[in-house]
Amino acid sequence: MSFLIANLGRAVIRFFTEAGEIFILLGKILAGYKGIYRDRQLLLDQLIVIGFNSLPIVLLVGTFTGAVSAWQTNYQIQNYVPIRFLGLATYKAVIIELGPVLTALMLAGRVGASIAAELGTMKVTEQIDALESLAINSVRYLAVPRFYAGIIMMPILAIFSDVIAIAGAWLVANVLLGIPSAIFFSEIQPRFNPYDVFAGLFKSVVFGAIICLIGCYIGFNTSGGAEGVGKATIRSFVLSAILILVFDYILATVFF
Amino acid sequence: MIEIKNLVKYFGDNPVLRGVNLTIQTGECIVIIGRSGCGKSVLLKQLVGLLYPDSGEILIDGEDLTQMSEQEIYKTRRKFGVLFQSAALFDSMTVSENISLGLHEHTDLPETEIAAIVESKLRMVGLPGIENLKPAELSGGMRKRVGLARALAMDPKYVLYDEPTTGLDPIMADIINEMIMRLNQELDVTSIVVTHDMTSAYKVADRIVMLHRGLIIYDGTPEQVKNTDDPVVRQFIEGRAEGPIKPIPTSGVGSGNRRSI
Ligand SMILES: Nc1ncnc2c1ncn2[C@@H]1O[C@H](COP(=O)(O)OP(=O)(O)OP(=O)(O)O)[C@@H](O)[C@H]1O
Ligand SMILES: [Mg+2]
Repeated sequence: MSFLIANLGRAVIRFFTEAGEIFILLGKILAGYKGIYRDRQLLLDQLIVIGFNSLPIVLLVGTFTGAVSAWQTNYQIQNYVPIRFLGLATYKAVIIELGPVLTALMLAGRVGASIAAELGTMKVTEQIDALESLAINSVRYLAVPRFYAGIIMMPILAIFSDVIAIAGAWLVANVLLGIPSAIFFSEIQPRFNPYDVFAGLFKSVVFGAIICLIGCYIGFNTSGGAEGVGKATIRSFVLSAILILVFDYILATVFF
Repeated sequence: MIEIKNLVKYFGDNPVLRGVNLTIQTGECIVIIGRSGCGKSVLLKQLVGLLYPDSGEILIDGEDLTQMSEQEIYKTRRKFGVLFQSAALFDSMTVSENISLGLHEHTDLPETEIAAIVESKLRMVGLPGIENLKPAELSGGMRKRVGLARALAMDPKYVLYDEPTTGLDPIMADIINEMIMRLNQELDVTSIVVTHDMTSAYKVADRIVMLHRGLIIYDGTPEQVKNTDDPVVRQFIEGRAEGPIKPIPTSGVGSGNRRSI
């Protein structure tokens, strides 16, 4: 029994220590905004790695998100709601929820895990020590550009994802469900609300921050060689995915 | 001058350093010997604040590293060049980018001048013309030497060499030894060399110290080391399995056997 309590105690302490360390890292990264202009080349590299290179997968996921939501919404509302609302329902779901969340989950795998693996490898092969020994702050050099690239690129990718998802939905509605374009868009135009778009993009910024922060934190704290790097990759994905869903809920209660 | 006072470092319950005292004069070349796993690399890393001691002081030119703010630590690190045991080259960068990173970050030198420095440092370690290769394309010994070129790029006052000659052929090892001596004599670089290679130790050292069980147990000139009758030092320099040094209980054979049963 005392063994159980001791273990539980250790787990609780560990949880709060890690949470504290993540906040300290976040503080250092946020304070690093001052150096962004000086390190613009590093930021640019990460904008390309995180943003541009993620575009194909984001577009792919977006297309199917839209297509599926149109198809299923049609099935769900068929006998209760006039079909001209299909476009609106799909559009809202995509903009405020599916676009940001699915893009973020995808990028937690693609971007977050790769940050954790890259920094984790640098950690276990002493490259981070080497950087520090050259009097270069590893948070400034490695974490800051990744974090800011993440929060800049996530909303941009979400916009791409939103647009292509609506296009996908329209395609399904038009071709497979036989709903004319005019009817599909009829309720969207008059009910367009910039607040929804803002909320969706705000979520994306937060998700981008989570993905890159967790990737960096786990990367910096990797130990145990190649095996450790493998574990770090998985941990980073799992932890960011959980946090994305938790924050999605929190932000939903704040916004809507 | 570097003064290490009562340095204690534990990893969990593993006492790696148990009160190390060592003074390194400016311009001196000091060699630290000791068994694998005795804490030599851990000691070096603490000198530049990559690891923090549990207690004790590290005075760099009179300033205590353990009391410094982050900014002061970064300033102090610029006095140092560090060659890592694993070389620790940045594998996403070319050789030239590895060597020039510090120059790009800390100086406003024009590109042509930086390129000239990179070239001269590479020539110094016997690897001219490999600027555009990636670390993955180099042999272990080449990586070590590029690591050395990187450590020397900023013309540091103190150079920490963690096993500079391991993995090099005897001829190349001697070239590196000569280089360490030249830097030490001509440029007045203070050198701290960790090595198992006694040929190298005798050649470059002004003073040899031995780290054993977390303490400095011997401190003398190469001549004194050669003639010492300290049984621990003798066993080490002669490389005998028999003697007062027993396998370190926490590592290797003992625990391995237990686990396999
Ligand atoms: N980051 C770490 N976490 C836990 N233990 C560590 C860590 N780094 C080193 N140690 C332990 O400290 C001890 C000394 O390690 P160190 O790397 O300094 O040895 P060394 O004297 O440099 O050996 P070698 O000659 O093989 O390089 C070892 O027992 C090692 O297990
Ligand atoms: Mg070592």
